[in-house]
Amino acid sequence: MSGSVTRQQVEEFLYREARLLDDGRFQEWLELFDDEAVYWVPYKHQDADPHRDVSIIYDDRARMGERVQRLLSGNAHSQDPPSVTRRIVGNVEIESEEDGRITVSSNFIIAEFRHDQQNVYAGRYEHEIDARGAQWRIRRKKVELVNSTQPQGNLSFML
Amino acid sequence: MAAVEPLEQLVLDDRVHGRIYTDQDVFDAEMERIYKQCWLYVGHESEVPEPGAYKTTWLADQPVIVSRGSDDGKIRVLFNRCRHRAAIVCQYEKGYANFFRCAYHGWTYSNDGRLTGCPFQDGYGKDFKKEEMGLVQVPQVGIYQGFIFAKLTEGGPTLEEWLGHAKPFIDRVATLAPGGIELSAGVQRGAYDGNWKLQIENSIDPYHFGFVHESFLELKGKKREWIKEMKESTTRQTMDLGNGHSVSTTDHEKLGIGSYTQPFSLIVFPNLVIIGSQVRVVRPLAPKRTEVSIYPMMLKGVPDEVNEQRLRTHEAFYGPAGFGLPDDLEVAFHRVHLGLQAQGDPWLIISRGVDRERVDEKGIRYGGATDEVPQRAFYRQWRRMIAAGASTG
Repeated sequence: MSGSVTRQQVEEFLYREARLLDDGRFQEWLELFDDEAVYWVPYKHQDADPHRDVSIIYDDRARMGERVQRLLSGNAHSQDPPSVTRRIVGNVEIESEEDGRITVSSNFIIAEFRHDQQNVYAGRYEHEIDARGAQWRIRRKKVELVNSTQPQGNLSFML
Repeated sequence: MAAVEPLEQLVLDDRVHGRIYTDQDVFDAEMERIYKQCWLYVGHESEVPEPGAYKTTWLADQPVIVSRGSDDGKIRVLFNRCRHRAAIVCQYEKGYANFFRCAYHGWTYSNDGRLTGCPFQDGYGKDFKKEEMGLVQVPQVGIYQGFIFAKLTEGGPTLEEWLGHAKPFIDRVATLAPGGIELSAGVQRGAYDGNWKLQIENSIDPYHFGFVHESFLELKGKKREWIKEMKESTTRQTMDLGNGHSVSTTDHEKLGIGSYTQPFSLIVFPNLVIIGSQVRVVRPLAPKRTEVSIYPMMLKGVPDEVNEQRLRTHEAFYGPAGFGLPDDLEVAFHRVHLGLQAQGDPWLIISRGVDRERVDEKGIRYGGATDEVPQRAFYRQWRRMIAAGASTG
């Protein structure tokens, strides 16, 4: 991959996103996203079509804002007490780059602790990023949980 | 922990004992006396739309295949168990198959259940009759308005008799769109450490909404409107339809909770709920473990954008990351089970509105929007079946 964006730049961007999520800085996290952004967590790994299939999450920017607002409101019982999370992002690869728009694949492991129980979630992130300006903007974030088809519990924390 | 008193005494007209949510002997009795004696929902015709289509599911704790015969197009419900050494013969959630071939020793069944292939059959001798060794069919199958039900025992009421006063509500669901409905958008499957009845009780309970889902109402700017509606509305009501079925005519759509194109939610005893734009199936796994499957209902014969909008509205509230459902997991199930351990007063109250119930000439009981009519309807049937099961062994 020859392009103007380096893997190190991408890694720094993804690490920053991970840190904002794990530190509960959701408003700052939201600002990483483009106004037309989509945040998608499908059930199916292959052939998932959000227009026809129900998803775990399929947020436009407005609903992402509501998601953050709800978490920060203090009235979301499912996050009272809040989940404590720490995540590792790795295997970062720039899959494509065109005119400063990049598609990035990475793997993640999230340890989530709540109610005396630790859960481990793992999967793959796919970020479409507009890397043209000084401030990169996420245009689309897709989260493929390895266990997405398993009966799920409380996923009201941020993946 | 097992006490000597008959289990039906754990449910009174106005309260239920905490043991019904925690005890293994109660759970075992429910499986035997309720789940084996009731018509149970197994799927919708749209999930097996053509000859050769199948879906696998569970009838209480037993794996079954809902299969539409390749030759006759007839829907059967077959136990998912090879007649030879018991392995399930189909492990996929849904698909198309003319045959189910057991991976263990190659026994092969046509999708109407007949045993068509038994490798090296002569080894079983001349008394072996292939025609008697097909997949066992669940004793009774019934279809009402596309909703497929099965029953693990013979006899009892027909499906239509069983559905009774719930039928007109199912009729309305089935005719939501010009082409009817279809469960084509997949399933949201969830699980929690708690009793299955808590999910049923919570499925029609407008009383809890303003509290458990306060954050949702605030997001939508509907909190005051909701409280006003619940306190003052005379058109919203809860109804005990008999046989444990109940309905709430709460119009959630006005409040932005799902695409409620029919203004009611329906519980069909013991474990089917039709809420707004979804079919919800509750599956007991253990006294304190439950699986819930939510199938969004798509409309046939409408523009694609209409269904897509239904999905988006549905996801806003439901599913493991929705703005509503996780709060039920936390409060209505998790915190209830924590509280059930306190034994000072072991009873839970379901008496709300009991003094203002009205009964019409058909025997349907009516209550106010937030009255615990659905809970009483459910437990009245629960008690009847637990008691009847005890007397018949």
